[in-house]
Amino acid sequence: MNKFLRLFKFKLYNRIGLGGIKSAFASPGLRIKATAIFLSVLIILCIFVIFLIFTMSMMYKSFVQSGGKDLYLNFIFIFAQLIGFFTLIISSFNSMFNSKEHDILSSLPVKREHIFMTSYVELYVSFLVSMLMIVLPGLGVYQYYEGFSLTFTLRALPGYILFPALPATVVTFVMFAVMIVAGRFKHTELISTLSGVALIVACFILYLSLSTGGSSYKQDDLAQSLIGNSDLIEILSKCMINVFAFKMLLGSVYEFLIGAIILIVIFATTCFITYFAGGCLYEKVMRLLSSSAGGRWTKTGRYRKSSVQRALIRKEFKLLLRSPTYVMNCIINVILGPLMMLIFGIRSYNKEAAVGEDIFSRITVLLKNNMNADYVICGLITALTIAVTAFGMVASTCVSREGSNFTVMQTIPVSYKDQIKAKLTSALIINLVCVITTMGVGGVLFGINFLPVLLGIIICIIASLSFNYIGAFIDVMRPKIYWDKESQAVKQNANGMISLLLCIVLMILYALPFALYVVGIIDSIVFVVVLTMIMEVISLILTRMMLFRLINNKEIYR
Amino acid sequence: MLELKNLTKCYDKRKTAAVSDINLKVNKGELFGFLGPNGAGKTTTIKMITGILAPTAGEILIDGISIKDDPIKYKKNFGYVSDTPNLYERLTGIEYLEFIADVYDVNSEARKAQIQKYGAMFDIYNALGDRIKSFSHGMRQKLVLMGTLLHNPKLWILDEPMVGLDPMSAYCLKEEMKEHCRQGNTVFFSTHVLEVAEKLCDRIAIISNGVIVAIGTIDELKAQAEDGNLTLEDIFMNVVRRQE
Ligand SMILES: Nc1ncnc2c1ncn2[C@@H]1O[C@H](COP(=O)(O)OP(=O)(O)O)[C@@H](O)[C@H]1O
Ligand SMILES: [Mg+2]
Repeated sequence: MNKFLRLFKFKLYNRIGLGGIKSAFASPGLRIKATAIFLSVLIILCIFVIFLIFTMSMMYKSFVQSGGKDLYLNFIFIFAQLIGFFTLIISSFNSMFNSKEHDILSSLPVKREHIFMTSYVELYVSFLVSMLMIVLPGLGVYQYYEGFSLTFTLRALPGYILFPALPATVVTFVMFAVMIVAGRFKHTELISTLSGVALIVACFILYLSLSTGGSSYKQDDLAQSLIGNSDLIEILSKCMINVFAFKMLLGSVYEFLIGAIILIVIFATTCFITYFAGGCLYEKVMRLLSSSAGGRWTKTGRYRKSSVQRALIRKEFKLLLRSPTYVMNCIINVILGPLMMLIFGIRSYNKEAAVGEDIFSRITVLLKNNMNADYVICGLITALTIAVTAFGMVASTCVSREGSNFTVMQTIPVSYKDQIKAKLTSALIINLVCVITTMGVGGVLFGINFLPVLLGIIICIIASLSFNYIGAFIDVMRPKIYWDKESQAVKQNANGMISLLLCIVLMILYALPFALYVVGIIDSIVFVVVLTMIMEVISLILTRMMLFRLINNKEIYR
Repeated sequence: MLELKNLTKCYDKRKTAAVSDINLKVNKGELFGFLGPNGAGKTTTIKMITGILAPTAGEILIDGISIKDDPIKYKKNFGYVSDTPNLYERLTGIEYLEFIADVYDVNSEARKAQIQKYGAMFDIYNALGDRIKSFSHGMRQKLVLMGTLLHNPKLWILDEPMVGLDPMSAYCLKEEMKEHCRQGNTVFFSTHVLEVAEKLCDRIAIISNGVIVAIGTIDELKAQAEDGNLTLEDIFMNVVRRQE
């Protein structure tokens, strides 16, 4: 046990970088920087939590109106479960199946069960954190309306801690299965990435069907469209035994006891199974993965000359797409964008009402302004698409991803500018795919005319270009080159976060004319489009200038 | 061919320089050995030559071109084999070579000929279709060597190139270094293995604690030591000890 704790502590220090954080705050030179980063993370978190609380209270009101408090609680837990699944799948790619770390650890005199359990506990904690993001504001809102009670709060505590046991185990073993299957094929990484994406999509589709029509409640307002499929929520809350048990905890004393017993039993059995079955399975999977690392791809070269730019871009795409970690962290927005549109869009088809009866048109009705609904919906879709593209991290980790190969960048006879240009081009291509599919799906599902969709696409692309410039600027300025695991280059890299923060500021700026139109201060949509575009072009020119000035400064020696 | 003028590098302003005030001239067609104990400053010097590190002071010229004046032209002149073979692990061997060939502007026939020739020579041709991830240290080293030879560089810079190579490949590499010089090119390599240097080099420089303590042909060095029977090892020990 002692060894296990030490191993876990070691991993914690490495993964979260506790050691780095400590020394950053201790050294006087870095303290200001570290505090600034800490504060900006805090601000983002606050914005996020406020947004969540706002959404939750809206949900609560609508659920109470038409379903009941019970349905609300069920929804919260199921939602948390799905979000948790999502996190688990991504973080299992990032941490659990990292063969380099496993190679080092497995040569140490440490029990294989312990090696596995440290990874498992990591997954458990990451589920816990992402679940608390939903459940804490959810229950907070609940208590705000129902009256605060200490016993309620205390009763929820064991629930938080025991709740992740089942999903963490399920995801671990599902991922084992995925890896075992993928390891048998030549294209191991590709197959495991695709299955990971498929699992994530499945989570979303489940959420999608949770929140789509089919409800027996007929109420014609915004509340209705937020509730969705109450029947499915009921069914799921009974199937997902941990959801069922958690809700029992919050009931009468009798129910509390039953719920607690169920949760403890689940916890004990899953721990038992993961400890004994997981340990040896894990080792098998890791062995399979490391032995299948070198599948043959191309036997002979093409021996065909191509331009330097094209060679660089091709290399960039190969490195990006062949790494599950990069796909999951950097370009997952290409998949999530269209999916999100589906979630909002399919509602309107499932209901017997007209096509326009969707969440966005309800918002337009609520706003009660005499304006062109088509343009307002298109504006909302555009805003959503811009937000989705801002989450892509291809540009904001472009130099960091090179890692130890940074010396290759330094010694090849290609100017730094051209190399960054190639990276920006690949980021742009991915953004193009993201924008066109997202806007396309949105446009088709909401039945918007071609012209506004086209305008929206152009606005999105210009916006995404300046986001790329900002991301590249941050990453060129302070690339994170020393890492030994791909997830450290993308996920544990502050550059993505910082550039996202800056992009959010820009996004708010871009959205200003549209917001003024919705409120009614501006009444010409042409003016809105022109104003937005002018702002975008100005910021595009400025960010581009800043980036290329920085690159010129770093040209010879970096 | 390669000229270092008053080259100095301080990693940390407070500490002593890792390389201090080096002056060195490598002539065209020479096989030049750069010797020194661990931590002497060999890698630091080579990293400055290849443009990875910026010198604190001094100047570097390859073929009369300074890196500050025309970095692209400067970099086209050399091929660099680093002391740790860093490679894109997710590419296959052949993809890496094609990438390097594209970057150095090598045409199709030349690259095909070079890859087949060196692939056979280093006995790695059959593994080129595999991901670099699966390559051993020695195979990676061979791949880097092949990559740098594709464009037939005027100056071939190698940092401890024998480390990790099997005897067969080490022999091939030595032959290839000689051959490269015979074709009128220049080779500059660092090592701490004295036998290699003694057998191969036209001229050597010994660096210790960031200072060049001896330079010249082996015969010249022996003459300087006033004892014709000394081996390179003895000379090395003498100059390094004296410097300390
Ligand atoms: N990145 C670095 N930061 C600080 N000091 C360094 C760094 N790299 C090398 N040094 C120091 O510079 C000196 C020379 O190192 P190096 O050139 O790598 O030696 P070698 O001759 O073995 O290649 C050593 O004393 C080493 O500690
Ligand atoms: Mg060295």
